[in-house]
Amino acid sequence: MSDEEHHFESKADAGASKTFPQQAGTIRKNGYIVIKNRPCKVVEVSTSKTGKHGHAKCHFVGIDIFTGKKLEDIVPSSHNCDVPHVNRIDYQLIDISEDGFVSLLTETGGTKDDLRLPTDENLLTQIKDGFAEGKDLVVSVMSSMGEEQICALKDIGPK
Amino acid sequence: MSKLQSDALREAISGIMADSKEKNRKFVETIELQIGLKNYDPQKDKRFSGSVKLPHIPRPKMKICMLGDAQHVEEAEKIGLDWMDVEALKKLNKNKKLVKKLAKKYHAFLASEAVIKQIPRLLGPGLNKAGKFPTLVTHQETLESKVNESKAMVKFQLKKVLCMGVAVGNVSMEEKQIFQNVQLSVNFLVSLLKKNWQNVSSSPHSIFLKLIASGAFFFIVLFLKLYVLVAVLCLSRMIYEWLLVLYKNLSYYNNSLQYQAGMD
Repeated sequence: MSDEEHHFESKADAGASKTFPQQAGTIRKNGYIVIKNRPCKVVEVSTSKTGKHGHAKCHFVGIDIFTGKKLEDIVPSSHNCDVPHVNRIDYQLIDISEDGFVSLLTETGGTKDDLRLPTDENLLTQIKDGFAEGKDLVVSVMSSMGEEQICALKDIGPK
Repeated sequence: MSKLQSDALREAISGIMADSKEKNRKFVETIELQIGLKNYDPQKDKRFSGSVKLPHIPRPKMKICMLGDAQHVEEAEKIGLDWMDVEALKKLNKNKKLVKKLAKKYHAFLASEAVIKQIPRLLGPGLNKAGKFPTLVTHQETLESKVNESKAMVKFQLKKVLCMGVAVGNVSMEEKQIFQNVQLSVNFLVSLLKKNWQNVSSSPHSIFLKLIASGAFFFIVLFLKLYVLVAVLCLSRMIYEWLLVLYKNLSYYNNSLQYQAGMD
């Protein structure tokens, strides 16, 4: 009797890239860019041309979409920049456990239990108070570059 | 430890079955697989959860309740499955005690697609806290096959503690069937971990099978202890062989001495 070996492939998202390249000069305000390996939303872009023989450069000011920190970068406008894939998905809130994790109901009917409550105080109190009152809450989860975080909340009233 | 030892697992299962026959109970005992993790911080590391279908149903008498729409309720009645429709759920009125009582009454729940979206609204967090959030059932598959599939499902979920327990069999099953169930469960769990086998603790109490008798537990066999025992036996055999070779060499030397003495 030979051993029946069952092997499961490790979890992977089909090898899809987390970023795609885009020319620096074409990234506009309110777009996304990777600065210092963090996904950022661009809040300010300015282009400058240096000297007689210099090349144009773009100065980006971005806000980290997860931590809210401000980051800056200067890139020659003809060079390629990394642009992160950013997704937003809505989930229905099922439960909040005592250790700060939430249970969400996915579109396919399963539960998602690996998300932590957001660090934003305002959003956090909204979620906790709404849940305590027994409201029907739907949270928006932003995912990018392997990270996920709750970024918005809305109350859908009883149907 | 890079892999589960097949021999140790077989011996563990045989030990469990023998002990179960020694101290016989008047009901069918469940065999549960318990696993401890190391190098895993529940607060920092990403949590995971996953389900896998075992080749042999570990708990055939599992009680399942169907929370269905009109069509699924009709099917449930035909096959004799307990059911509740939306009206019955509304009567619970999000009462925590009633929801908890419902969760205790059944081992698992199934829900129609239309109903599962209303469950957070109708029942609140009770079912999820009990770890029995319903599994989705669509109309494309027959309810009976879904019920059997649900009985064969085991769920691994990491929350704030580093130990997990899942039912993988019962003593009325054949040893080969239990072996397959355990092997599949462990391999699936390992695929969920970020460092694969490194996260399965190598201490003697990390992976073991035990019999569940409504609150009384019997620790039967620890895999790694068996492994150490086998290693010691192998080492003893090597030493014995080495001594045998040494003895032969000595005998030869003595014979040579005698031969020379004879000539003189």
